Amino acid sequence: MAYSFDWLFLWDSLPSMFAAWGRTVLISIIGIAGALVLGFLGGWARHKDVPRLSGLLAAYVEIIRNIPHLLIIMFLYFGLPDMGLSLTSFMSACLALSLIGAAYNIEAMRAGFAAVPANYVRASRALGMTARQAFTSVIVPNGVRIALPSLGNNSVGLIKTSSLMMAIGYPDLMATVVSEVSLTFRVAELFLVMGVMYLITISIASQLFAQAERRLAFQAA
Amino acid sequence: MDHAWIAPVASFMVDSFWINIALALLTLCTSLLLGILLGTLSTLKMAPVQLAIRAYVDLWRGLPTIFTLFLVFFLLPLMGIHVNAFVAAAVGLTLWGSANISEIARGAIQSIPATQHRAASALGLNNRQKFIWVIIPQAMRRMLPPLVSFLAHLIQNSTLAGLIGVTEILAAGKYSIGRLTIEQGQPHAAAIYAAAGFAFFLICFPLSRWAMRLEKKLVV
Repeated sequence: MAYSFDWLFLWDSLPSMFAAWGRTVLISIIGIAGALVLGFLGGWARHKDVPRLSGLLAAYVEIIRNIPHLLIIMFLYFGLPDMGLSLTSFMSACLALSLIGAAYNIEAMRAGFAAVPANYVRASRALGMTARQAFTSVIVPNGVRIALPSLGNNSVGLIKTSSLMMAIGYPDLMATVVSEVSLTFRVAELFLVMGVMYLITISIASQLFAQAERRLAFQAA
Repeated sequence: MDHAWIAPVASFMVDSFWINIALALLTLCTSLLLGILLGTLSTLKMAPVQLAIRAYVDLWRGLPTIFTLFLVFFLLPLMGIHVNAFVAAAVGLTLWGSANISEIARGAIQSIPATQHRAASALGLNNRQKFIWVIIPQAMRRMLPPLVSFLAHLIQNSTLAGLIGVTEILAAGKYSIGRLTIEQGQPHAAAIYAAAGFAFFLICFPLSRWAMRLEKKLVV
C-alpha cells in the first residue's frame, strides 16, 4: 500500500470541514425537531383514531418506511418543482428529514400512547380531571416516557440519514469531504476525521436522549 | 399530452432496477455468511474475539452506510485493488449488512436456552457439532423475522450505490430527468420518482408485512 499519511494538509481542510459539520448538525437538529413534533401530533391522531386522518397517517407510515430515504430526499428536491413547489436544497433537506423521521416517530408515539393503561385515564377522570387535563398531565407524560427510547433511536437514525444530502447538492459533512477527497485524494485522513465527527455527533445525541430518559424515569417510591 | 417519453424511460429504469435487486441479493448472501459467522463467534466466551467483533459491529452500524460505501470506493484503489463501483458498493453494503446480521444472529443464539447446550453436550456432541446440529438450526428459525425486515432495508439501501456511480434505479431516474429536460424542456421528475417509489414499495411492503407475521407466529 503506497499511501503515506499527510496530516499537515488537514490543517487547510479543517475550516471547511468544521463548517460542513455545522451544516450537518443544523439540518439534523431541524429535522429531529420537526420529526418529533409531527410524530407527536400524528401519533396522537392515530391513538385517538381520528376518522380518515388516522387511516391516512397509517398509509403514510407504511409508504415512507418501505421506500428508500434517498428517493424521498430526491423527490422533494427534483420532483416537487414539477408540482409547482420549488425548494432550496437546505429546505428540502430539512423537510425530508422531518417527514422521514415523522413516519417512524408516529409509530413510536402511537405505541407509547397505547401502552398507557386505560385505568390511568379512568382514575384521573374519577379524580375530577377534565379530558384535557387527563391528556396533558397523565397520557402525554406517560406515553412520551414509554416512547422515548424509540424516539431516541429514530432521532439518531436521522443524523445518519442527513449524510445523503449530496444527492441534492447540499454541502453537508459527507458531501464536502467527498468533494475534498476527489480534489486531494487524501482519503484516509479526511475519512478518519469525518468518521470521528459523525461518531461524536451521534454519541452526543444518544447521550442527550439517554439523559432525558433518566430524568423522566419513574421514581421508585 | 405527449406520452412518447414514457416507454424509453421505463425500460431504462426497469433495467437499472435489476441492478438494485442483484446488488441486494448478492449482498444478502455475503452478509449472511459473514454475519452468522461473526454472530456465532461473539457468543463464545473468548474476550479478544468478542471485543474485536463488538468494535466491528459498532463501527459499521454506527457510521452512516454511505460513509462505508465511499470509504471502500476510495480506499480499494489505493490498496491496489481496482474494482468497479458495483463491487465497491457490494463490499460496503456487506460490511454494514454483516454487522447487522451478526447482531441478529447473536441475539437468536443467545435466546436458545442453556438446557439445549447441556443436552447436546450430554449426548456427547463436541462444541462444533453442538453449534452446527443443535444451536444454529434452532436459532435460524428465530432469526427469520429480523432477517426478512433486514432484506427490505437492504433493498432500500441498494440505492446508495447510485451515489458512488452505479447506474441503479435512482441514478437512471436522474439521467432520464436530465435528458428529458434538455430534449423536451419537461423533466417529468415527480412521475419518475413516484414510479421508482412504487417499485420499491411493491417489494418492501410485503416483506415488512411478512416479517411482522413471522414475528407474531414466533411469540405464540
